Amino acid sequence: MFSSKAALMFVLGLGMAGATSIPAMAQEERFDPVKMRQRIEARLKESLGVTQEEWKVLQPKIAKLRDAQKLSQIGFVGRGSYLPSTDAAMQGPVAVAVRELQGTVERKDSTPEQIKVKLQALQDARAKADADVVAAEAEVKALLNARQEAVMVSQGLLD
Amino acid sequence: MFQASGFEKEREMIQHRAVLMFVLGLGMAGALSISALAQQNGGGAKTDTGDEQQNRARIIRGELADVLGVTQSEWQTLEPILDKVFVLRSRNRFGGGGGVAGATDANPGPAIPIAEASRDLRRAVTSKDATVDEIKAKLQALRDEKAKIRAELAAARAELKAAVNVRQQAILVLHQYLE
Repeated sequence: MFSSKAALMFVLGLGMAGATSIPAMAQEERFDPVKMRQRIEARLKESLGVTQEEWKVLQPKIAKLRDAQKLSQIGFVGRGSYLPSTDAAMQGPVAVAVRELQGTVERKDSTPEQIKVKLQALQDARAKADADVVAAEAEVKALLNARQEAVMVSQGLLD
Repeated sequence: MFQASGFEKEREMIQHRAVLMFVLGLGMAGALSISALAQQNGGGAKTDTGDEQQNRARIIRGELADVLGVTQSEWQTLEPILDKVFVLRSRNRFGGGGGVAGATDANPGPAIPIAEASRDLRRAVTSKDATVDEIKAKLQALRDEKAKIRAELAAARAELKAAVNVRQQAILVLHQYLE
């Protein structure tokens, strides 16, 4: 009797929380990062109003810009986590410098001088990554008219 | 007596198990619903208001205060500057992407100049009637607002940097309060 009560409680618990999660579960099952990226690109292509030929030229430049942005935006956001995280970005110079500085700060016997050196290394890596973003942005901007540039700025893809 | 006590124990154990199963059930389904809700909200960045940002900032900084190893009185000095940097940093990061302050036409959110400029530009680029000059003007207005935010952020960061030692500065760089 008690074990059936336990099972009932389990089902009740699942049911209560599940009422809100069922549509969400269905949504999660459908999530596919590749398809998501394709949908975002298709929407962007439509917003920009470019032809297929123009898109063939523009798309790799936009991809390069997004990669550069990912590499520059890495930072410590909690115990052992970084934002945003792709494999390539996690191996980039900024991520490496972040990890080295973090290790130095966490060691109790690190001197202020050692911290300063690692801090400067991270600041240099970020400056280089930011410069790469600016260069990639310039390549994209050179291919856009005023309306297209405004579309990309309004979507947070260009500065 | 022995039997009664054993029965009591067993009943207690089963009741405990029932509660545990209930919590487990809630937990399992809850974990799924939380991640899905986060997904539904677009990762949380889209609907940040100033208040939500401040609340989030307080939670994150509860941990930060420990990591920095500051005294209560030092924290009282640092906290308002960290608040300022946190909000300005969020506006700088999301302002151009329609991120700050809700930013839907139906629910425009609080009046934050960079959010308004961002909204105005979005309306202009989606309007069939907007001329190229109008779009350029809205784009420039947004960039001007971004420049203002960046200047305020740089000033707040300079104030923060002046209030901490090298180790604390490094920690704040890792947490992106400082550059």
